Amino acid sequence: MKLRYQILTGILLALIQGVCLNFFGDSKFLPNVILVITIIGIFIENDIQKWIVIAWIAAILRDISLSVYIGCGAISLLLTIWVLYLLSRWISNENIIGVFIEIITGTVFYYSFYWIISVLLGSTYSYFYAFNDWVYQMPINILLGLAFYFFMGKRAKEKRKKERFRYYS
Amino acid sequence: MRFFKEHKLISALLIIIVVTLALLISSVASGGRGNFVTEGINTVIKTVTSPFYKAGNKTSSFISDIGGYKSTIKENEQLKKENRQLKLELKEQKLSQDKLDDLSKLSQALNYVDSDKGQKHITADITSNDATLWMHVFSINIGSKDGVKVGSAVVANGGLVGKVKEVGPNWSKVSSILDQDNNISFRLSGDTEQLGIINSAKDGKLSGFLINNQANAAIGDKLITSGMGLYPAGIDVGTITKTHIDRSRQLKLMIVKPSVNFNVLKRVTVII
Repeated sequence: MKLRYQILTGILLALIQGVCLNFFGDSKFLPNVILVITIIGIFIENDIQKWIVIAWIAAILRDISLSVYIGCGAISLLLTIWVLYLLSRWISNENIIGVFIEIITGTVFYYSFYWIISVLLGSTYSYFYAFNDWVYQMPINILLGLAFYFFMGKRAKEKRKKERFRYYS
Repeated sequence: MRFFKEHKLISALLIIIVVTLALLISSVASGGRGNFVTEGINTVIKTVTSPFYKAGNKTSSFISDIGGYKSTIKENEQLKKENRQLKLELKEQKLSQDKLDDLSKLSQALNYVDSDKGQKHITADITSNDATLWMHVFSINIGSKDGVKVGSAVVANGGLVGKVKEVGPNWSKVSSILDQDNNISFRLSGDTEQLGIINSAKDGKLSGFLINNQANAAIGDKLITSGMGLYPAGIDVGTITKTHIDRSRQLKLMIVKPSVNFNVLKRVTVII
């Protein structure tokens, strides 16, 4: 994917996240669309550079529009991507259990990194108080992740299959 | 240049990390205040997502109304009971019309100017908030066009919410009292002679101290803003949930539950 389309995708993700906040309001069951799509994208496709650019653009725009300090969400997301990339050797990207593990691990790491950065910047919440919030977000992140995997995963699987067996056809 | 072409991933990562750290450092150094670039981006994002705001608000209200039906009935009964009690208290405390007129004439004779008279109150809807709910920052749909300025006090249901941190033409970012290192000067509502300061917050509760450690401050006492400092006088801050005396500093420390429930806040009022 060319750079300009990556930037546009990132902008679109940020807008989708903003719209989601309007619909879910003050509910604790608020999906983190940027996180989930990034995790699924990296999980399915082997083009990590593309997803790093998309995730970074979306996270920076989200931080600008919603946070006091620009960069907390972006740094947390980059660190999460790095951790998931290291773990991806041990997680199969061909089945739904892999999706579950990736979403759960990704959510835990993302909010943990976000909490650490928040504390360094002056947040006064303890880890266990913050834990209350993302326990509610986890199920909806998983549902969203499965939905994206279903739509995005099929095409990626076909492509991988063709590449793997290209000498046999 | 050759290095960048041959190592695209590392180059992209390096650039992204450097730019992000630079943005974070400049954001922290400026105290969370944006510049014309971030204001422009915010204005565009708010303009694009605002049509969805009304639809989203109605949907989320409908869903929460269904879920909260039983609690609404219970709350209604409690409010009726409270209302009856308040009416009785009002009868006991009402001044006669004559006494009010006398006080008004006296204030005119002394050329007393009520500082609250110059203030304007504008109601705004919360359009989005920080998804983590820890930093307690949220956006509202009024801005500099409506007269909002950085530092304007924000209240809701008579309780103190926070202050405006950043302003755009038709949006503002509000930082709540739970989030910032914001000292709130208060008085006890039952004994307005007693002054104190709230100087920190943790896990959704405020903590502070009374200047006079002999003051009668008990669990359940309400605190109001004193007017000395950022916020106008007389705004509900919260209720004392715990007190103890710090012998080393000779201060009466307390934990305060805010009067505003930040988790269900939908509408606020900005005092201009």
